[in-house]
Amino acid sequence: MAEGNKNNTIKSILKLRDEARLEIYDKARQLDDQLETLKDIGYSRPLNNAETALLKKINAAKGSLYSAENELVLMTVVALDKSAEVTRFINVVNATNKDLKSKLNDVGAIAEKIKKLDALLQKVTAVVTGLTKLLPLLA
Amino acid sequence: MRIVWRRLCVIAPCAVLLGACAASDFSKPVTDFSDAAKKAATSLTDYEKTLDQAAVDANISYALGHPSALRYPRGDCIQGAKRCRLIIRGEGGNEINLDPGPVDPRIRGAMAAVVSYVDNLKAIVTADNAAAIKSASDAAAASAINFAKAVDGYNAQKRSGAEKLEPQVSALAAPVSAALTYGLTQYAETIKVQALRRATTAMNQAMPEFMTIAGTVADSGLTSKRNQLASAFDNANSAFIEGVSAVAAARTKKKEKTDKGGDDDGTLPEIDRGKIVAFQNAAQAYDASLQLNASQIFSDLAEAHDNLTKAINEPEISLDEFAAILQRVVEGASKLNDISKSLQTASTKK
Repeated sequence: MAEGNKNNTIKSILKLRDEARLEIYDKARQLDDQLETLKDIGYSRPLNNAETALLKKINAAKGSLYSAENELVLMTVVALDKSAEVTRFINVVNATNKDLKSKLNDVGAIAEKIKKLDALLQKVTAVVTGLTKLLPLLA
Repeated sequence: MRIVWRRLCVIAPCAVLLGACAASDFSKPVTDFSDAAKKAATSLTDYEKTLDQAAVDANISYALGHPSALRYPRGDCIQGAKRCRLIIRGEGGNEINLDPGPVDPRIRGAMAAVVSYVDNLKAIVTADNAAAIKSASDAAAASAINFAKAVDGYNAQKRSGAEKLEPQVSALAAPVSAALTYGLTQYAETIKVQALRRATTAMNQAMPEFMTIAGTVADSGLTSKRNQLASAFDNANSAFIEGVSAVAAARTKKKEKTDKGGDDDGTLPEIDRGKIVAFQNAAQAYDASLQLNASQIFSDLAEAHDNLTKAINEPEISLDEFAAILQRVVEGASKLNDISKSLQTASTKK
């Protein structure tokens, strides 16, 4: 999954993530059980050196599990980014945006077409006016 | 009849038949949806930044364990070089940048395209073509009158005895211009409403899947933030256990001393109050992060788009219902942003 295989679907990517997450959470629970035992000891008597060392070791192990989950979610996002579903969505949204812009231009062009008609009328008017001025000279 | 009435009431300004709807009738729902989508996109960006940083942190952690893997490419970072980049060289010789850049460039591009999509929808519903069409039609009518005057002038010069054109054109110009304006405005509205229908229908098919992806990205970013807070909680927890143990040790020592006839000042060693406060603060920050659902706003946004599509294509849903969903998205995004900032503050306190 880390390589973000293009054949992976969202469903398969999320399934892999969920399975790996469950394993991580299961290990976290085991560590927490050990931590609770140590806590009970610490509340009743001073922890000895070995127990203090174990406390640090458990915390370090929990830290590794956080890192593992961080890495897992990061790889999940990388894999999703390369999925065919994202490609499909990009194609749909780009095509839709293109169509909307084109229709907006079409609508804007209606007034432009009337303006062209107006310009044509003005040109013809100018020609007729010119011809009118020429008539006395031709007579 | 009641059903028909309810349907007609849904998009209030939308005229009796669906085909007579104007794009501007959808202005409010489209604008509201656009605002909500942009807020969701901002939330996503926040989580993506967290993931980018997590990727850099992971590489730095690797470099801590494998210092010799931290290099720079040959030719980089020397006098005359064009670049200076740090890379991690793996055992197989593969190289990656210490800062790999955005973790999800295509998803970011897709979300940016969604923002463009809502901007385009908004542009369609807010475009005021009627004013431009009226102005152009009025100008063309005035030109037609001028043309008639010119023809009349020409005929008079020729002494053709032809009937004057200008009064006839002047009489017709205003109603023809009004009819032209009305007809073309209706035509423009038809194009716009059809464009809205086609766009929302196409996007509605793809939106739920992409919103699942966006929700997963947000959830991943939240996981990364949450684990920082979990780690801060563990440290506070350990400090508390060690503090309790130290108090137990001090009490044992004192008891041994008094048992041997030493002075007893009547006090008992107690755990430092600051350790309990720190433990409580760490628990509260972690608890707040555990109660967040980062992906919810994206599934809400997909649902809101579905309702928007229905409202535009076949107004079956109540706009009140639609507004309630959008409100959830906006509030969710604001809440995430607020909590995200407080998480940032809490995690830097560790």
